[in-house]
Amino acid sequence: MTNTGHAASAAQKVTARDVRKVYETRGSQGAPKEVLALDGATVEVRAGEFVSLLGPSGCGKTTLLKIIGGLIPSTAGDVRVDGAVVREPSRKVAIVFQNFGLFPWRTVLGNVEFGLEAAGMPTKERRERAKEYIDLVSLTKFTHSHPSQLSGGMQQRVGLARALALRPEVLLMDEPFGSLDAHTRELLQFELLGILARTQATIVFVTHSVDEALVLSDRIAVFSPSPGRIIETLSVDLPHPRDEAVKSLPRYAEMREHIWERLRPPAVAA
Amino acid sequence: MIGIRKVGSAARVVDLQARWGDRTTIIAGQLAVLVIWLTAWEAVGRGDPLLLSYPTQVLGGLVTMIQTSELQGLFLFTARTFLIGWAIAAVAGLVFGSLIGAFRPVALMFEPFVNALYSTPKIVLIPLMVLWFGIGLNAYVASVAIGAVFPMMIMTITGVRNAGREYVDVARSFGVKGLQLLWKVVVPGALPFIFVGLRLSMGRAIGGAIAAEFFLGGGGIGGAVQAAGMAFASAQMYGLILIIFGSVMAVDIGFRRLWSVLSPVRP
Amino acid sequence: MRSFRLADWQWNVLGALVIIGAWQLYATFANPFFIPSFTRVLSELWTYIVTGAIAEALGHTFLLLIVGLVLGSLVGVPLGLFLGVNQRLGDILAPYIQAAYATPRIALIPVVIIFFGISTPGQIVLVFLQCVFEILIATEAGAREVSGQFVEVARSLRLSRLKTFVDVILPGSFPYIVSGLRLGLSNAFIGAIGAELFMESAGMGELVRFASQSFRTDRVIAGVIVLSLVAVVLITGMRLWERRVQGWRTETFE
Repeated sequence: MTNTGHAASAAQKVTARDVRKVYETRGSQGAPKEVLALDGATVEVRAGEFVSLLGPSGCGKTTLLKIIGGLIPSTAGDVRVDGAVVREPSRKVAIVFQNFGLFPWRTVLGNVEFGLEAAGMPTKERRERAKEYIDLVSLTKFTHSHPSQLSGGMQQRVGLARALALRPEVLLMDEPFGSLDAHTRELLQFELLGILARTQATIVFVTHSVDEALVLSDRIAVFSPSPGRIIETLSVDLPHPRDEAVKSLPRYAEMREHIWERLRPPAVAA
Repeated sequence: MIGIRKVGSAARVVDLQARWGDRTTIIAGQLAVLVIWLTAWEAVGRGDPLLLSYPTQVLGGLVTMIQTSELQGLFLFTARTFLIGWAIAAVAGLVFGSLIGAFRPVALMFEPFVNALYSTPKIVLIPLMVLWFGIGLNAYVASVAIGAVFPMMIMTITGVRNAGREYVDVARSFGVKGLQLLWKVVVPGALPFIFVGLRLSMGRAIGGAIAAEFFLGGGGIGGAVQAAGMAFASAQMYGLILIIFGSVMAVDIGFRRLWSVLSPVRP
Repeated sequence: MRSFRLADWQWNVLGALVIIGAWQLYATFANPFFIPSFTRVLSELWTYIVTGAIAEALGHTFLLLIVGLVLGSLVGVPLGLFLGVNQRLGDILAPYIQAAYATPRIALIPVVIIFFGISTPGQIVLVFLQCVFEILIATEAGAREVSGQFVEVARSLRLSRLKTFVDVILPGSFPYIVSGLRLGLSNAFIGAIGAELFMESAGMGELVRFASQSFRTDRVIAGVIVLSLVAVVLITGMRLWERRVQGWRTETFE
């Protein structure tokens, strides 16, 4: 369990305290209705850490991620990156989306350099940088292909390259492997670890898979089902570097069991 | 060959496929249909030329009209009203469609009307066009635009919404906003739908042009078809109708070609 | 998008008010000959309704619409099914059908008049032509899709061709057929009004034509309002049916 006092705040890269999010949607007949998506979620991420937001569908983890990313405003609560309050998408933060979010009218190169283009980097420089990251995700041969010509796993690697090309200090990932088949998923998980080992980014990773969270993270923030609250944050004290073998460790099974217990709906616990 | 009897059994069609190669058989079949139709028309038509006319007569008539430049004049008249009206409809459709697609309150206010008017036969307003726009080009152009603007608007709405759903959040996460967002993300994202809108609105635009000519007369192809019909000059009538058919087909195919060339992504 | 706290329906109403308000405003300053005021239009509409003129005219129009649509279905559905199953033939005829679909069938009015005369039969033929291709194309697409999806299942169960057709293709194509009918209905309505405009008739098209001939813009717009309402009711009804029928499909046609 992390318990940081204010003195240590400077080392916190990303902080979210008591975040509430109320959605105004339409009920039947289109009358405004309120939905409580997040109810006082608190999590702190240290620089260089890999933290997973883990929970069932609808628990608000993606909402929290989007708030941290500046895509949606919180209703209440304090969200900061590097001490600065988050109001809109920050240059220090890049996001990888579940549905890849690639622009079909651009090539892989065009997609990867999109963020750099938006940041105003000159053409030559951004081409080079983009190619560097395309190499990093092993898609060099497809530099000039279009997303429609790539498989799901390849597309997500483009999404990753696009985010990493910005050399962000914080990387937010929203169930990035959720649209992929199990095999590709596993491959990409380990590939991700390899890639991230070479960067110093802080990662906040949303997932509903306990295994994925255990394999990838340093710490896991476990969500309760709707409305969203973080009921526990635990350190994953499994050895680095993580590989297949880590799943056979007894500690792994222990943690897994513990988390499943926490995720179980209260009524069944009896 | 591809005869009706062969088509009866799936297994045998597959056989032919293996032997002849898909595309060749299809094209051969299409040419065969064309030849059969023309021969049948020629044969039957000669027996009742007043009503039916026949290909050689029709062709002769067209050739004469080209030689006297009559056809060109008719064509240009209709083409002019069509193009101007279509352009106006396209711009109006884009502007209003984008507003409705992008802003929910605007959509709630006006989309029901757009949808209702889309299904309403606007053709009944054509006789009033003269009243509203005077005798002259404007009445025709208005008739073209009023029909064409709705498919354009509706497809633009769909396109903008689609781009909004799929790409806007992604772009915003990279700090893109405002005009850059519009130009780099919304427009390309909506483009496939806008293209379809252009194609669909073209059909209605031509319909509007011809309907206007039926009502208001004038020196276009529609007016000439009507005149030929009333004078029982069937060769001329069919000839002009074929020209209309041909032009519409050509533009439609041109559009599809243009799209497949421009975009690696098919909608 | 932040919107002030209005419910959906309140925005709808606001939109209507904005349109009517703008209209009324413009009409006050413009020549009433050209732009009748909204109140004037409403009063003419009321007269139409009360004298039964609308009911009678709609009756004629609906007759045209229904007969034309039925004919269109009787031709379009079987043909569409046939071409969807016998795909080679479907591929061959495709460009011709597309050509007929893309062209404004309004251009054929003079031809139809010559062959079928200017009264009801001719009008029915025109309505038929307006909807038959929509129905055909949608049905063919449906039969094709279903054939593709289920042909292996049918063959592995060793179903006879007849049984495949009746138990697999027909029910499978049904949602597509309904979509085609919706498109066909939309077009047929436009076709019916168009036919009534240009040929001798007693339907809504004629009613509006007569009004415009007498330069009664107020009556014309009243007529257009009726047409809009009818169109909305018809299309919404069809869409509801379409949605109910679509249960097992994940996307809609068009």
